[in-house]
Amino acid sequence: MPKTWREACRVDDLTEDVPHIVAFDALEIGLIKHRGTIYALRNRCTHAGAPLCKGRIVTPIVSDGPGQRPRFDHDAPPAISCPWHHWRFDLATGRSLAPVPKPTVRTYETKIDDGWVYLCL
Amino acid sequence: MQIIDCDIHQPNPTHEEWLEFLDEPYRTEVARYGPRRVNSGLRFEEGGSRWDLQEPINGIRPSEPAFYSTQLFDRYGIQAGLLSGNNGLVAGIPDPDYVEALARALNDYYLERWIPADPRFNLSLRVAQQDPAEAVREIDRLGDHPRVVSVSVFVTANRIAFGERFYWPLYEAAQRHNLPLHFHPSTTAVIANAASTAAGMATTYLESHVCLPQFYMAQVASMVLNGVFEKFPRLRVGLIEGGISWLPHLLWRMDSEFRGLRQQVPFLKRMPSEYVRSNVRLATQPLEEPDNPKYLGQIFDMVGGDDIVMYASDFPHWDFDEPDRIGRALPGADLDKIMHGNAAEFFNLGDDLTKRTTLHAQDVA
Repeated sequence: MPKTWREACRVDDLTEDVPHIVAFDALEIGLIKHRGTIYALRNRCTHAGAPLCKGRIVTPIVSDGPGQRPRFDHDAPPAISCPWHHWRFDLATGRSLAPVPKPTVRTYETKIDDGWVYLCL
Repeated sequence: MQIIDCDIHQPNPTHEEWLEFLDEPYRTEVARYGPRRVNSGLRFEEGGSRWDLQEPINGIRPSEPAFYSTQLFDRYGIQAGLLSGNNGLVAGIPDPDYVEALARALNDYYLERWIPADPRFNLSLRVAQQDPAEAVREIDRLGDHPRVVSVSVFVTANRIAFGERFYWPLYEAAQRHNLPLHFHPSTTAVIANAASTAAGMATTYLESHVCLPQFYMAQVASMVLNGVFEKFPRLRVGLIEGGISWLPHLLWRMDSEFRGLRQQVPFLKRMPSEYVRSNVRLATQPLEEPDNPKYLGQIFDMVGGDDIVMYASDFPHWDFDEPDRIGRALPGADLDKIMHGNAAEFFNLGDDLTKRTTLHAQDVA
């Protein structure tokens, strides 16, 4: 089926790092504004079906190795942490932050036009 | 079929046999008062060994190396075995200087009096695990002996869990000498450590023995989740006398919880279960005996048993498993790997199984 751009919300509706959920019939999608980029992903965790976009936007934590103090990786894409079991997914790709990247959450392309956010569905 | 036995309990030497190996002032102390003992308050049945091996057979006493050569190796066609000894003389004793001296004496005694007696014998080193710096010195002293093939570590609810950095120097030395760690439960040590089960102190040996896998579950979780195998990727750990059926639960739970709480251990680059599959091995004895024998095979398949399970007899202890028992209990298993292949790789034994093929980790890097 050919993809189409659908009007989702006003840019002004979005608050930095706070998911904004829009619905297209039964399909719910969370829009997240972070440092000038708008990410979009399905509001359903692939683990247990939780409303993923009710979760929190988090900065990934990394370490240089065992015995080294963990630190934030501010250069990495942000992640969303599921409200139920706290599985974390990369906002840009929908991939799990665990070393086994599956299951992946569906993500969507976005664009801004005349103050509106559009989703490619 | 070739067979490697991963757990053989040669007896402790008598005072007369080994006091000459023990440094002063402990030689005088032990000669005068006997070795120090911790006592768990738990009673074995008749000493914990098979009742049919208490008397000489064909004129060979149970305390002689030849007894093991004939009654175990010859009788069952075993090509190589690990002399893991008994832990009562050193496990749980709080004084690291005393334990270091005894461990050194026991190692020297077995290397001089037992190892030359049969080319099929290999030794697991005693070390003072409560003082890793001392343990490193002993590993460096004897770790390149071609018939020393592992380092013994005694496991209960230890005072410090095995994932903690306290032990990392010991792990570094073991990895550097390409020696795996031979984890063995220690009933005698439990009173000196935290507890004899995860719940607290066992009241009987039965209760303690049933709960041994609890220690392995906790220690494996500690090592994996503290990044021991990320820090020491060539470190190998063998879990002896814990069976195998507890492992699926631990692997599944670690992987599942890790997905949600990974940020607490960001140094792990692989799923927790992957570290177990690459770095941890389990010995067969005592193999679980479910009412429906098929269930054991199902669990064996769940953990990829063909790749991680190694045969052990526990000779001459009361819950000894004959080699033939493995094939009967696990009819679909790859016996070449379980009976010798996995152990040959674990202990780094060459094709003829008579000695280690590479002594240093860098040789295999």
